[in-house]
Amino acid sequence: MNIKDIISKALGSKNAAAGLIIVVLFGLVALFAPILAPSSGRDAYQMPQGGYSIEPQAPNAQHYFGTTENQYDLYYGIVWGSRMAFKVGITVVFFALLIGIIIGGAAGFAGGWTDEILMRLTDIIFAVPSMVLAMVIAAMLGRDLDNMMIALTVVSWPSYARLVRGGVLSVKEREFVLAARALGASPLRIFAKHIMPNAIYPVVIMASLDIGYIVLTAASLSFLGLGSPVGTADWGQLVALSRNWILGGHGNPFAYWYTIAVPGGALLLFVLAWNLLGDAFRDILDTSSRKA
Amino acid sequence: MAELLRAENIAKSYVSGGAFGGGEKIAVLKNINFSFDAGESFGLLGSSGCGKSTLARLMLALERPDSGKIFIEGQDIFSLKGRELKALRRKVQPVFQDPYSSLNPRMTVSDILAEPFIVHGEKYRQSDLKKLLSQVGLGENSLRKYPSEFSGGQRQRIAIARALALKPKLIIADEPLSSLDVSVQAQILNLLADIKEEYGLSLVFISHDLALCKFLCSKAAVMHKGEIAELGKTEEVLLSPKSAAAQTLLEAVLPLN
Amino acid sequence: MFRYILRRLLMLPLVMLGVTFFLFFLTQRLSPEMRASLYIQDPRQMDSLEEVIEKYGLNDPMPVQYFRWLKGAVKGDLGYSESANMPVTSAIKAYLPATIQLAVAAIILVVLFGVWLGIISAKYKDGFTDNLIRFFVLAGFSLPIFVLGLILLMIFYGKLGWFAPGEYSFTADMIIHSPNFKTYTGFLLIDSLLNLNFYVFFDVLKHLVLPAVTLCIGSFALMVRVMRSSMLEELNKDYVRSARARGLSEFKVIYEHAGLNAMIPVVTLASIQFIRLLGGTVIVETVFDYPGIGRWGVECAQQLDIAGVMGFSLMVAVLFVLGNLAADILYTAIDPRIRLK
Repeated sequence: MNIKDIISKALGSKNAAAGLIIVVLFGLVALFAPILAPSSGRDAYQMPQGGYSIEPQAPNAQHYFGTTENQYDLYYGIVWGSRMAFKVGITVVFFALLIGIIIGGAAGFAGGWTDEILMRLTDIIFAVPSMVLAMVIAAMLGRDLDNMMIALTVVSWPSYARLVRGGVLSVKEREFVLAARALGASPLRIFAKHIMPNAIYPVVIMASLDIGYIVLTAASLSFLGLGSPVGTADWGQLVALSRNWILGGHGNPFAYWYTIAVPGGALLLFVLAWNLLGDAFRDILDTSSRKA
Repeated sequence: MAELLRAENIAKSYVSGGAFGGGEKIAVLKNINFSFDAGESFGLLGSSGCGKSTLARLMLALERPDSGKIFIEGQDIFSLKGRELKALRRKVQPVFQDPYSSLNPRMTVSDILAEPFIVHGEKYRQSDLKKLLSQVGLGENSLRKYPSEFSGGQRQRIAIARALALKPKLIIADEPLSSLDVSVQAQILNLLADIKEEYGLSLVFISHDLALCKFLCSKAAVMHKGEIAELGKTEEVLLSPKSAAAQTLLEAVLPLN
Repeated sequence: MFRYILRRLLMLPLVMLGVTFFLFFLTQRLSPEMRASLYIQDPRQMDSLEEVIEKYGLNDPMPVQYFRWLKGAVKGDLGYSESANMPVTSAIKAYLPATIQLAVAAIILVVLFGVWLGIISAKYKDGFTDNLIRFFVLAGFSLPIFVLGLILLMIFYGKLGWFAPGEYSFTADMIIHSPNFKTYTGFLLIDSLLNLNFYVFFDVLKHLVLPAVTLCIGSFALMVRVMRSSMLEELNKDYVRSARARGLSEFKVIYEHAGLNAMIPVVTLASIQFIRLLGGTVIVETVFDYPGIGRWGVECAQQLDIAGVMGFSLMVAVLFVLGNLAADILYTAIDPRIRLK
């Protein structure tokens, strides 16, 4: 099945279409963030602080979604947080995929000891739950956005490497590869022209759909205070800022509901949308690979 | 005529089972000897699993035997390296069984036919590619299309065109008809006979069908369980089979004719 | 099969070497003063940091230091965890039982409700109920567990006052640490029963509810999906048709006959998911202030408690790899089709 068929079939399902719409909406918010929430500072990802009162403010005309403790505007945080989510998700998927393709491709193509060593390397990463490993790496590197993305890349590439390797191994046995060898094509040409184009597309699709999961893990790290620096427009951090307020006040347990509902809702919606998309694609890729 | 290919005492076995040893060694080819002359075509017959395809890969120098040698125009092909091996590749080209697997689905026909020239650093023009296509009976508007836009028979024609690009002396056709519809089989068979004539090349025609073999090949070998059970002129093998393996093969085909 | 298990077991020390070497390499970014805790057993040694740095050659090349650490680790000496205020090995002993208790509770919930929802989903295939279940299960999978945890706390602790954070209440704490309460296993649910102290038992159980629910919510998606497709497969088999033809009640057919057979893949999936839950405990224990290994790990990471981080990761890795191996063995042992290969 070619890529166009896969995409059109996947988007045919209602769930996937809903997922796509939500992703596109977030994409638009991210794209137009400078218009939706103009920033005054030099770094737009740094949320402006409207005062030093510790108590959050409920949604009002000035703060559409209310404020967190220490007066970060939730609306600003959500808008720029969308941009941050795409930035983190796309960057991590891109680099993890790049490493995965190089290492998985080399392992599958070379075989033998190269394969053995590279695959044991992935075993090492797989030996620790990715959330735990990402947490430890992020902590050791220090609290910083780039470090967080490095940590996420380190824990993400091995699964792509394995998928690419599997793809390469199955394509390697196809007759057009034999035909190219019989022509006398160089290994490099066979790898680049014949094997890779046929081995990586499903992996690229799967990896792009991991953006939701990666943003979720990033948010978890930020929630633990091991991700983006203080004051970054980052949904996980906004949720962390609500921790002191979930028990409410003024005799009302739900007095500060918005501090958790707004960033938590944005995160849920974003991840759910990607999972809806991913589910549909996974169904199709599974069946098509079974047929092949 | 000069001898084109000679196989001497070829033996090959695979290890089945785990990579950590302990697997069983399975002999795929044992004591294979045959030869044929330039311009002559050679039929390799046998039921599935008898080692025909492995032998094809050996003749294409895609795999190495455990022991034994294959000479093509007097050259020991397993001793060749680098430039010499590349020169050999020009002389011997394959046509595979499954045209759905033998064409890269992400390359256009134009890319597929240009590849032999690119690999061997030869200049080519669009007209060369168009000529190749017309020789196998396809129109020049096929150049921009992808393999998925063609039928099985058309794909096999493209695969043959690719094999012809470097003007080889020998084409190894490994069951080139068996995954095609019966109606298309005859067309491809005729095409193979035509190009054999036109290019004056040799053909190793691998099949399980003696009758088809007779149409193309003057000489044939019947294989059974990795060994050559019978070797001789195709007509003799066909009319008075001596080995049990050849008789079984004949019985399987004749009632249909 | 045996060769496969043996191979994996032989791989285990190699993988552990790799993991610890990698982590050790990361710790080299920190100053020798911070890394000194890897080698001490008692905080009083902190006064003589210079001596520790000197003695353990913390300015030596990295591989040299690594092998020195490894020598200690093999002897069971993993250093002193500042965040836990005790040696790393003691911290693991103290925190691990609570985490296992939590994970077991969560996996029980996953299996019970996952199987049930999977059966219903299969029964009403492609109907409204099926779609509804599939949507909510996917939503659960997408729900960040720290958001869910905080919302549950808001409702069930803040508003209703039913479930409090922590591992047990203040009163239970007094009982547990009284001389009459004997520790047998370290697992409070078991120890309280052995002490015949049902107050503590129910107190601990009550405190498990919210974290266990939060921890398991993401695991339903896969469980329901697997149970659903396995159930659909069973329902199409001849014996189900003949059971129906014999006039057995639909309830009996679905739950007793097809349901039990459909559970084979669920068992192995559960063992895999049990291992996966380990990753989630890090967040859940932090949100609920639940004193398990996950919360300790987070504290180690936040406070750059190097000895703690190394010990914590090593332990999680061992559990994770052994658990995955066990799941693999279970998988082949339980499904005859695979054994044949």
